[in-house]
Amino acid sequence: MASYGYQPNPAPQPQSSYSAQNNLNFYQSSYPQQPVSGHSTPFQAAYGAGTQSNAYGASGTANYGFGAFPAQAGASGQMGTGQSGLRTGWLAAFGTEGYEGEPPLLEELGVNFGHIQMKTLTVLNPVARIDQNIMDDADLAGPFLFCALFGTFLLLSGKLWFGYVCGLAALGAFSLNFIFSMMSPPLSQDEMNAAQSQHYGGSSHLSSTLTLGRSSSVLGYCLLPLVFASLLGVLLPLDSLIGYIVVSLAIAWCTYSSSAMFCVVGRMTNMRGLVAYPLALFYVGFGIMAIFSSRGTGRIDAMKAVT
Amino acid sequence: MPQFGGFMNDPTAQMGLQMGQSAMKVGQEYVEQNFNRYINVSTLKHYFNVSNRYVLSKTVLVLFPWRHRPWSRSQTNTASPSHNGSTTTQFLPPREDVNSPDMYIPLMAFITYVLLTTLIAGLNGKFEPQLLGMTFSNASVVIILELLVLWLGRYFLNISSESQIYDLVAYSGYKFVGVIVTIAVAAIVNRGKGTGGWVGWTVFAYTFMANAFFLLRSLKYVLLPPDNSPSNPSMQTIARGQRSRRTQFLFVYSYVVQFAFMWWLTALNFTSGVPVVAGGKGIKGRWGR
Repeated sequence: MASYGYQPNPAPQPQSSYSAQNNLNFYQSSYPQQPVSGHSTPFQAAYGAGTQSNAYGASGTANYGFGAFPAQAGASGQMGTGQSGLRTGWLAAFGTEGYEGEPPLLEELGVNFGHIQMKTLTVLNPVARIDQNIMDDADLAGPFLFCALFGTFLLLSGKLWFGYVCGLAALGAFSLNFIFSMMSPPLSQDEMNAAQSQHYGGSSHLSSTLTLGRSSSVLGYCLLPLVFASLLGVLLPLDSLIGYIVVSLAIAWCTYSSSAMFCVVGRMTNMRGLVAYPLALFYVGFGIMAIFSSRGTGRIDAMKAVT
Repeated sequence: MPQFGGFMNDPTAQMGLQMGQSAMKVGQEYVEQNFNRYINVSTLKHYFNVSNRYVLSKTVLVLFPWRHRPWSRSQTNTASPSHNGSTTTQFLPPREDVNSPDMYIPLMAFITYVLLTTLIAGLNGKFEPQLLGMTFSNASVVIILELLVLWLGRYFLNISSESQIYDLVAYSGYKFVGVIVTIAVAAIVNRGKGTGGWVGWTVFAYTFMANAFFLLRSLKYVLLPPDNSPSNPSMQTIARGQRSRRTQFLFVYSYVVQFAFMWWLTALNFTSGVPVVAGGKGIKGRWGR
């Protein structure tokens, strides 16, 4: 009989292919170890050390997980379960159980709401002290959300500028990552070895603790005050004096928090002003878009009519 | 009976997967090696090793170079890496030597120029996000042309040391500081109607002369180095004919070339929605109206 889904084998299979399937892992687990300590999820912290070495899941009992999870307790053929460790029965079909030892979905996706909340609060709180390991799990879920919100609020005030937001964000992320990698002190030799042994997948390692993922993550999280400013821009036109003041304050806030984070993550001491200037320029770009997207007080159209 | 999702069970598929992984790894290593060939990361890091005090004093120096002395870069003696007892001299990084060129100021000045032009256009009511891209492309053309001039000069002047080229590239970016000052002052005085008029031309002339003086004094040490400096690694004395050629290049570069580029950069104004060079020539093209 055909087996549906990704279940490795039903019982009637001949013995040879059964053992071949035992040695395969559908997903090569690739939870990287960060050079600055930190495991992003509890599951990874517990099993991360073991995954690399258990690539060919050893036990004679069938290893049915989606990856090399050690100490796989779920053997086949247990009472009440089906061939492959899943519970059967229509009640279980509507339930959310999965294989034994499977991590929760959000952990597997790498979305850690606790971390997202912590980073967001760090941005919003100007006097917070920033932990050096805060950016070890450089997730991009928060930044994508904030960029999408920014674009949406611009849309609600009349302009369809998602493409420009995206382009500016990408260009800024690449160039700021390059600049700050250049400005941060070079890695010592053992840090270089640790980083390279994990083969980050980045093609150009610029000898810094900053990577493109971390830079983009910091930049995206610190965009939050400008998102608030653009939300305000839906309600009142930002092209007035109060609009200028609000956007300038938002830019200052963004720059303040992102320069603090970059100085900590990139280990650039005593250079905060120099770090803050390019960040200010980057957020001024977004601020320009926020201001000039509003329908305005009519001044813009009046100016256009005159010239 | 075929198995759905069973294609990964096949040993051939496994082998294919392994091959794919190793191919990707080889590709990444290839890119890394070539990237390091084109952009020497450790050399570039030297140019970004700046401090607050350096940035402030260098910016002031670019705008008011008249009374500064000396202009030579400081050197330090470090033990040679080959451990044969000799010392190699190296230039001090920008953090410790105000005469050392850096790439932080030129890069920041370039980006500030793009944003400032767009901001002024926006305050005139002429903002559109394409302006960011247009100004950026325009300034990039200037930079590329300048790099071309430097690259040609390298062949004619037989400059072989790599750090000298990076120095020249860094020095070519300092004119953006003067350009920014010109545009900002003119915008304030003219209320954003472009950089024409008495004030605009006066400030432009001043910043141009300051930039030319700065380049003359600084590049003298790059192009005509004394014999035992680190920028002359092979310790060759430069022949007289070559010296005079280099001096001529220096003069032409500092005055004529910089004048052309600075004028191009400052003369754009966007008052009518199309970048118009002062003097009335419109730049037609995709955005011409």
